[in-house]
Amino acid sequence: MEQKQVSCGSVLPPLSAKYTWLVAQSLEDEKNEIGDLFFYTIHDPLINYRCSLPELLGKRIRGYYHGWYILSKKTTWSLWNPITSKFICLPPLILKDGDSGSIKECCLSLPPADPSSILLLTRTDKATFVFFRLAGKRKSKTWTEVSYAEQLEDIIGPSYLLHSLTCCSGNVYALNGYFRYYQTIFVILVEIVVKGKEVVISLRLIGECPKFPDSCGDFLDVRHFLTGSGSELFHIIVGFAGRYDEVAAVNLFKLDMNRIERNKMVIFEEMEDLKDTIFFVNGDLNRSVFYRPVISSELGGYIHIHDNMAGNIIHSYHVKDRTISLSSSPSPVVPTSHVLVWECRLEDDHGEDGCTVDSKQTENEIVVRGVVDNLVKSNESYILNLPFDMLVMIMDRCIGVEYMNFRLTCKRCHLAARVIKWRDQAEIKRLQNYSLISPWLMVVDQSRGVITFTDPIFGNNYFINSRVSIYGGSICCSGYGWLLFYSTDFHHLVFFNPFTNNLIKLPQTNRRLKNLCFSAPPTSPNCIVVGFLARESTIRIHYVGGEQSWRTIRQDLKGDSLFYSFSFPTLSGGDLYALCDRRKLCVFKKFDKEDYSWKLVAAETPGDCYESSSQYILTKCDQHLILIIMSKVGKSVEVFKLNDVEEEWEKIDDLGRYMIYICDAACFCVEAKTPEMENKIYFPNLHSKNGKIVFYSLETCKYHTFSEKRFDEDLMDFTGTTHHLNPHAWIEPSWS
Amino acid sequence: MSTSSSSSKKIVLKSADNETFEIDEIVALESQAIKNMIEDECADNVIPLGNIDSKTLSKIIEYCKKHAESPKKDDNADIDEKAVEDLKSFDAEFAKVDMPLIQDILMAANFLNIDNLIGLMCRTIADRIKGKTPEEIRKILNINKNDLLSPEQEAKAREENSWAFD
Repeated sequence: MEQKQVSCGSVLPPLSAKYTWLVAQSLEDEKNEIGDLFFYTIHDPLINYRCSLPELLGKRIRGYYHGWYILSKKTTWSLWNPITSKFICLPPLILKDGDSGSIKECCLSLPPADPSSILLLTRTDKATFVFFRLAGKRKSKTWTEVSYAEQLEDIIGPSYLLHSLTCCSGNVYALNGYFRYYQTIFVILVEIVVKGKEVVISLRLIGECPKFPDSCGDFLDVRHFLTGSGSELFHIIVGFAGRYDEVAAVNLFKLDMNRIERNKMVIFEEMEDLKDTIFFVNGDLNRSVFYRPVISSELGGYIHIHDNMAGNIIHSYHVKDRTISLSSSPSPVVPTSHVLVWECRLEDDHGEDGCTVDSKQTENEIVVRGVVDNLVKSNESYILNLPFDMLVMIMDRCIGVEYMNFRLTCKRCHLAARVIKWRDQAEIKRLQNYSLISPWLMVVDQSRGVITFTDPIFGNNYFINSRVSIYGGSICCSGYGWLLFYSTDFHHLVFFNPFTNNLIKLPQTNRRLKNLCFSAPPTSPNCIVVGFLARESTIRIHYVGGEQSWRTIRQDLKGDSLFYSFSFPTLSGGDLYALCDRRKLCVFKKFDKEDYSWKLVAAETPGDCYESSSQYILTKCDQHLILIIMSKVGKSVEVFKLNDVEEEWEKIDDLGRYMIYICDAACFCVEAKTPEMENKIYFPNLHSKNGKIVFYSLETCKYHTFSEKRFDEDLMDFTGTTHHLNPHAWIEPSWS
Repeated sequence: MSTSSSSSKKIVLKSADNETFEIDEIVALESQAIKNMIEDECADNVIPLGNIDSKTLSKIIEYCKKHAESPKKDDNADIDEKAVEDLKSFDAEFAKVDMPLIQDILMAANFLNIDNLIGLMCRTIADRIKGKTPEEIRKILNINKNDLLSPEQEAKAREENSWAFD
């Protein structure tokens, strides 16, 4: 995608009021004293503006409060209002014991015209505030530095420095730093009292910040953000998942400062829908968060997260749908340089710019029209003129999805086919031998009590009301139409078939098992459930048709066991295979017999040279073991097949008639029922534009979606796709 | 059904395009409608089928011949499995025709009241639309665009469909 850059010289660009604009500066530029500003928007990645303002030469934007940018250049601090072009220069800041680089955050407590307004700075290495009072004659005044260490310790105990300074209802608020991420975070009011010439700053505890629930799982890092808007204070927690640097959980809370009473602890209220507003969270060098209404409602509801943890990718979390859309940051600055991103609010609309016409878009439109024309022509020759009772007979032989699609084709078919509730006992019988062309992606919305199924081929969604409660928000395994998960209601592992509502409880496991698999549907007497204890080599086995207990097998891994963890357990021919330490293949031969044995099979993992963030996935395809290696955000996908004789992985470029379905809960390989489905890997990601399931074609080595059975919308990786944070899994519906 | 009736008795069918087909009576009896006509003795030597063209009629006769030859299930308990398989593969081959002809055969089979053939044709149509989008089904069945649901009706039907598994 070509970006179009419009140079505006030394004037501010005409920004469309339709979008939220960001202003970026490159830090490399700071050294070179260029000081160009880049204005861009994530809503229209095709255009950006560049301007070079003499006032900003060599100055770095440090913050944006009350319509004023706070700028710094070594010891010089200044305020700049882009709308009025007013500029306020402050006397040099000379720190007694540090350089200008030790300033971390800044905050302007009130608009500069207010007599109580002060510019408050925090430091990277010391529990002090450095501040400057703006009212009166500035030249005669100096900066003041005061320590807050004791005060902070008095109110919350030992803590790191304050951060996330923000303004709300004329006050400044901050969060405390923490040693460990599970430590409690508090909202602290930085009370600034200006009496005559004196400024007194005191800290006051407002309340405890919410945390992620314990069941949320492990995060590599958790970041807290605070921002104020009007009288409301917002707290955002972002959890980054282990190895893929992905945003794995986001929670948003609100506190109405008008409704809090002094000396009473407050409770944040969780927000479940952002409606026509958005947040932009920038977790890079300067933490900045801003909250804005949007003009076009389809852009609302998101928290856009830009964080160096996630590379150059913006994670857009939709609060109501609990989905994350990935998009590449349209930052016009060289991607390798450090970028500071700030909110930009210039005075209203300067009129729609005429530069947004994109030749690619126009081409797409023409293609779409072509398709429609073809359809119209072929419809002229012949009419379905079967008598009504025969239509009914044909419909009687259509089941499930075919029945529903047939209903949609024309008025007569619609009349001939009543609405069938497939969950009715009589109808379920008809579905017994029914199978779908493709498994569906199932998403469980626990708060609304609805399960959604998405068909990868047609893109249709089907819904079922279901009050299912999944502990920890993740499904352990999925297969044969059944889900395996820990139920919050029963505190047990359960099997659940969402289509028949069958629930089968498994015996208690005193410790939580991770990485589970099962060999057959739980209604079969041969069903074996196998799981590992987290970070251990202990295997636990349960025979569904047998006793109500778990068998424990401790593998003697010759003293190395502490270092092994096992994932993607895969049953094959009486043996249990798994990935050991994430990437090495190991086998537990005759794992449920007395004479079991353990060994590493393919010790040489392909791509030991791969980046550590690559994901390794094990599955079985027609009796062969298959390893899939996927690099970060799916930039590359490689498939290997185990050579049983040589015990080596061999790269394959073709799956033949097979197709692979990947999600957190399961990875499985099945034979395609139609030619267009084969030789593809299906992911639990939806195309952000057309909402359809994204697959990787081994033929084109790109990602696509189905559109009238043809490929559509090429993607090179997962940017441009949306995935669910709600529990989800691939499922092959089964009614038997 | 009289299996002892003379196999030499012939019935003549005349298609809409005036082509005549002479067939054994036993083959003609596959059609419940013709059987009724013969039993009611209202059939002359030639039975005119004014709404079936020769192409369709010859296909139907092909079907009836094969099925008349095959031993009937209720005739013999230990029926030859090979014969059943043979009939199945015949049916599968028979159904490999284009959609307009399938619809013509279905209409004719309905008129002639040949239950097995009606079933076969309905199943064939149902199989062909398996895994197809409504758009593709419209193409396969050549549904006229004037017969389409209005956008509102379609939206409502989709809404109903989306909850059909509930």
